Amino acid sequence: MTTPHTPDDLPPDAVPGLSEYSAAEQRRRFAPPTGFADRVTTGALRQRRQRGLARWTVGLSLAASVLAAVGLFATGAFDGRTPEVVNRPVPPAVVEQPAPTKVRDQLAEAGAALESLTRETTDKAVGPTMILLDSATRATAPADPSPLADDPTLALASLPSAARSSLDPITTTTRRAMTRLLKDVGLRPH
Amino acid sequence: MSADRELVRRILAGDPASTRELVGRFEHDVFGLCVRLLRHRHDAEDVAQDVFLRVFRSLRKWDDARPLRPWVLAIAVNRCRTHMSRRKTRPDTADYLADLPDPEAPVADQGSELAAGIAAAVETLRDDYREVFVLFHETGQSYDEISAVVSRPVGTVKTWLHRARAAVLEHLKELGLAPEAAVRGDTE
Repeated sequence: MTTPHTPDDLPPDAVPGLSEYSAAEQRRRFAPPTGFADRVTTGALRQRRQRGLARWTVGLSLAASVLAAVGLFATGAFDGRTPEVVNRPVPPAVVEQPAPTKVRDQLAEAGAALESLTRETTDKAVGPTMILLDSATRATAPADPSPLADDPTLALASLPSAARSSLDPITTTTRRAMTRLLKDVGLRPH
Repeated sequence: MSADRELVRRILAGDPASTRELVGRFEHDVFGLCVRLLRHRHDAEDVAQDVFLRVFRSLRKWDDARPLRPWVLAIAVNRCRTHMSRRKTRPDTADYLADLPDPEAPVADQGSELAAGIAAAVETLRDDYREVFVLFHETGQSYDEISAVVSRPVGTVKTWLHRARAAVLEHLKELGLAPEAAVRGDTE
């Protein structure tokens, strides 16, 4: 039994009853339960067997892996070249992109659309007028038209020169306007 | 030392009788220390069994230049520490040794009011103080052995032991079992 050594500043005697307590406790024996040593020994031996078995398993696995690799090399499964990469990266799918539209074509298309729209609007607006004009022309047309009616300028030509010169600006402007109108409505070829 | 070395060599060679011999050599020390630290016989039995399994598992790591006994007791202290920390987080209603009469206890231990006061005071010590107090006063280890078991310098062991005694003395004073003049040194 080891004799305790205590610090000088607080010896065991400073604590009442500590020396007796220590002596009694050191005499006290806690006996382990019956069969404790046998159980522990059995457990330790079983543990050693399991650890040994685990080591053997790992060793055998490694040896089998090495033998398998050596066998593959010996049978020529590998020709020394780097094996082809199986997981080659897949190139991205090529999406067919439409050819870029030229500005000139776009302008032509817009112009055609505007033209058709304008023509449609014009036909809607002028169509009834053309029908009326056509029927009015037929209703008022004389069976035997006089030369005056055919050509108004002939009547004007029969007027005296003074009167004709005074009326000439009016008749010329009117004729031009009428000609323009007829061109616009399509009754007269360009 | 050479006996320890020879025993370990035979165990590592796979001799079952040497395994049984090591258990028989240290079972009282290990089980007694576990009972004193855990204050519970069933827990002490489980922990002591775990201690020996760990001893045999780590036997190749033992430094044969050092004695075997402190190394085994150090493993026991560590396992008890781990068990106590788990017990704190998982309290149970098991009967503790302090609550049961110990048939192996000396008559003087049971009848002494001072001894009961000291035992109660030891229960209130923090774990590291209680470890060195139990190792020194209850199992009779020397400073050097305790230093090896708790892996702390001898000076630290002395300091912890001094503080443990001061705390015990303070506890006895509170119980009226120690005179006021007897209190010396610092307490925590």
